[in-house]
Amino acid sequence: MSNILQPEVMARLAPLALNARQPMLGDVSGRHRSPVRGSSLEFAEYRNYVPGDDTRRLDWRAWARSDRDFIKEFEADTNLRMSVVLDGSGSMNYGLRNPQGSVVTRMDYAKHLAAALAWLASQQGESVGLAAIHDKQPCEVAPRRGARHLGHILEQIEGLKASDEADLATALHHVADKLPRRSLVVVFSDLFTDLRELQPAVDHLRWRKNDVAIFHLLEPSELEFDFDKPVKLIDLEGGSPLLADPALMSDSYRKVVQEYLDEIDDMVRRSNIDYHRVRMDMTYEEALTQFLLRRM
Amino acid sequence: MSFLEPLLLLAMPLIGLPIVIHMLNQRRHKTAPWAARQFVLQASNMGRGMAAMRHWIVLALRTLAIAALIFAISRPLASRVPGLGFLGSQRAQVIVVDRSPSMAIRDSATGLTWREAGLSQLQDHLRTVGGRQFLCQSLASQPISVNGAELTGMLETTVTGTQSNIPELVEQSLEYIDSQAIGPSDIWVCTDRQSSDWRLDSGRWNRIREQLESMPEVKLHFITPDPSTEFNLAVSTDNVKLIREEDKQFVYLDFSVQQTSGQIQQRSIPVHVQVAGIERNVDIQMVAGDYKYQQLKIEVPTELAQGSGVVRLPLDSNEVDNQFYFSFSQQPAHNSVVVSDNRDIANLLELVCATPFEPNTVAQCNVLPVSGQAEIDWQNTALVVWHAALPTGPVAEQMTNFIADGGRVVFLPVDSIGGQAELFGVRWGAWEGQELDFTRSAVVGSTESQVLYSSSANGSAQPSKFQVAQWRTQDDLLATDDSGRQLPLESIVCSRRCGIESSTASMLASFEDGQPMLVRAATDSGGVYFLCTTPDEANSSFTDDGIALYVMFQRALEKGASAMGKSKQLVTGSTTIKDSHLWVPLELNQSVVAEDQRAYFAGVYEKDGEVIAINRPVSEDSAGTIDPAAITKVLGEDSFDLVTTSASSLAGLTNEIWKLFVIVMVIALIAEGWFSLPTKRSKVATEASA
Repeated sequence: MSNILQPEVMARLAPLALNARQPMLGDVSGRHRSPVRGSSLEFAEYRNYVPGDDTRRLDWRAWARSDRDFIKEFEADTNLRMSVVLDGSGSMNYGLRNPQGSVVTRMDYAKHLAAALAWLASQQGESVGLAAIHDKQPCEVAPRRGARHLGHILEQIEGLKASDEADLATALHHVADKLPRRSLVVVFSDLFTDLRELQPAVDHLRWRKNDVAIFHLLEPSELEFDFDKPVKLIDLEGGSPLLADPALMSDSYRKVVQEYLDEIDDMVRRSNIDYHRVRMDMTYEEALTQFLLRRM
Repeated sequence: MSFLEPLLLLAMPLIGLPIVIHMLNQRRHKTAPWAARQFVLQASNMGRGMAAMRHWIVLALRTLAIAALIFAISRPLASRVPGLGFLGSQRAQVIVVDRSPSMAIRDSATGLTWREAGLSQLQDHLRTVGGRQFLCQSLASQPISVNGAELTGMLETTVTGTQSNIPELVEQSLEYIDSQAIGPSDIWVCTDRQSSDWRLDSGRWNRIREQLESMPEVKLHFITPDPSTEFNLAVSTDNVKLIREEDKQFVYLDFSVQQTSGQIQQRSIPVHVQVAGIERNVDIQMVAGDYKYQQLKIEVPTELAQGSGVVRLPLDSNEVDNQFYFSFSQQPAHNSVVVSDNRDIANLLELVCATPFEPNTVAQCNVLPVSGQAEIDWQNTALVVWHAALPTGPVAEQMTNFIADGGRVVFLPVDSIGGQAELFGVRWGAWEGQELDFTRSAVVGSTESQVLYSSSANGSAQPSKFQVAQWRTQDDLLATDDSGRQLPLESIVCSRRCGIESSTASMLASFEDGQPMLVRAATDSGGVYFLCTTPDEANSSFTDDGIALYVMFQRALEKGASAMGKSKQLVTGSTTIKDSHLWVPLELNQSVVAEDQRAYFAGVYEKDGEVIAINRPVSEDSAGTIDPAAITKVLGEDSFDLVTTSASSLAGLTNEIWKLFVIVMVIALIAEGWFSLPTKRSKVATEASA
């Protein structure tokens, strides 16, 4: 098992299933509903017989009662293709020293979430792919099934490094174009981007019938701006430093953040995506559990 | 505003401390990596106004708190004294007390006199400011140290019976400060601004002004009361005579009651008169502000040759001016001497001097030629009429002593004035005009206003004549009579007159052109008069209506005779009183007055068989006070400040107000704490609403 996976956490998460919120188009039989009728035991509907239908699927009992020909259809079960999208911009390197003395960056947090989710999906027999968004070192792995593929995915995740700027919206457009329709797209990002550009990218994914989930990772200090003295802020994406006096601007800052989060909420409502705002003082296991449970 | 510890104000730059600390804090920032740059940029661009304002308010409140603290420890004073400037123990305080009788007016509400109220307020101020303190008052030649003393209870500040000489006291204080190198000082003059005490026409004020200009470290403050509304009357006597009528003897006296303050209304005042143990009550009806009782007649024993008495008023707001002492004695003979070589003039003057006002008065006039001047009996003479050149040598010396003893001399000019001789600060000038015949037989016509006389001058179509235009009617030889009638001086015409030159003499009568007709030389006692012409018909019309001439000379004779009597009427504070320590008090309560201060308190005394009555100057009873504009005129605007106090209000001159600044500091700190409290933070909704 990769170092990025913690066995005790995975053991606790293993009983939880990863469900799709909508019918998926998989390549093999699985536990998810498919948009096409299949041969599962679950009745779907009756329809009129048309020439060419397999006569073995005629419902004789219905014919006997009504003297009409009905074809009895059943649901099809399939697996899903899950693509993990990891934001590799420099802002993902932000993190504060925790009480244990180690620094957990947003990227670290995202890696744990992504790896655990990939492992869970793979364990369910789903296809797992990876798209790391980085302007200079993009990484893209097509969804496949199998333990070896999972190993490759985990290896790629573990090796990812955040730096510089990354155009999340463009990357999501690219994912929407490349992925087959009706996939599960899980995005791990801080969403520090222009929401006016992000909205079309999300809509693009949704138009392709994808089930879109976003883990919005936020460090609490980014929400509260609770510095007690003036601080010189070094931009993690290479911008010029900023001198900020919390006494003068903390209120304004929180107001701006609230407006930003409200805009995201609007976007979520419009696009009907599975959005999870994750404070990084929460364990990734808890965040993932909430994610899975909400999909039950 | 004034400060007791002004040096501590040097710490005032510390008010910049919060700003410096703020700026240092701005520089001592830590560095942190940051991802949400976009939020910081947006927050920087919006909504800083209120936060910045709040920030500056906090800084301002901290600055205010420090400033208030520094002010508080500098011991600020709220003062009713404008321009008090910085105080402190390094400044000396010189207190000048007006001890005149008018300072004894008592306020009915507080029961305090003006003196007590002024000194009490001043004392509170002095306790506050500290420093070396000196007292300057009229009965001491130089200030005395009174550090921390109870001013109101000091004998040296009590009210005396005499006037104060405010300019003299202020000048004395300035000279003391200068001679003792006392340095920065405040002179506090506690006075009621009575014009007779201030003597604004005194040349001392100019010197004081110059001294103040040369001593900028000395500040002059006048503490004066509001005009009193308390009812007060003052009494004085005049013209006290002991007169024998057949087999009885009477004391005649005039007394005046004057209202000095309070509302004037009709009221009955009981006046108590005591003469040689005989008491008499007289009720007078005060209608206007003053009342004069004339010729009060009290019978006394016939064997009484001299004595004393007192006139008393009921108690009012000023008890010092409620009594007036007087003395009397049998009238000495009205002996006079006329020195003249002009027989006509001598005879005329002899007639005038030998005819007294009172028929019972013994009058004798001795006419001497100029060569016989050594024969003058100076001891038994009341009046000398000197129609000769001004005396010199032993005669002049004898005349000076005669004047010092209270005698009177009237000088008349002679044709040969004897060069540039000067006596008593006066000398004769040149003759002008020409002789006219002022006899009744020489009247050639008349107009409505004047009689025309014939001229004995030849070749002069328009002879010069000098008409008397103005004369002093208040007092002295030309005063109006008891019934208020003026002497008929307007009808006096001179054809010849002799100039009178003096810079110190006071003019009693003058001509239309301003030249003097009659002057009185400046002397400490007695009386020396210079008449510019002679009373004969050739030079003047005095004899045409002899009333003016007669009254003038009889008044001089009467004054001189009274000085020869066995009684004296003196004015307190007179510089001529040299032997008061030899006086024996005739009233028990005067025994408490120190021997060397008897000349400053009213009372009756006896010395060598002579009865002496001494009283405050009548001018002290005047209600006239000088206004601040008049003080400004003599001292200049910036040389002094005037603090008006009220006897009915004892609000201090200065009050320490450090508590006020402590309160300001506390309020500033509380406000600073309130503004520094973290605002109710808008909590960011971390749960997604979707």
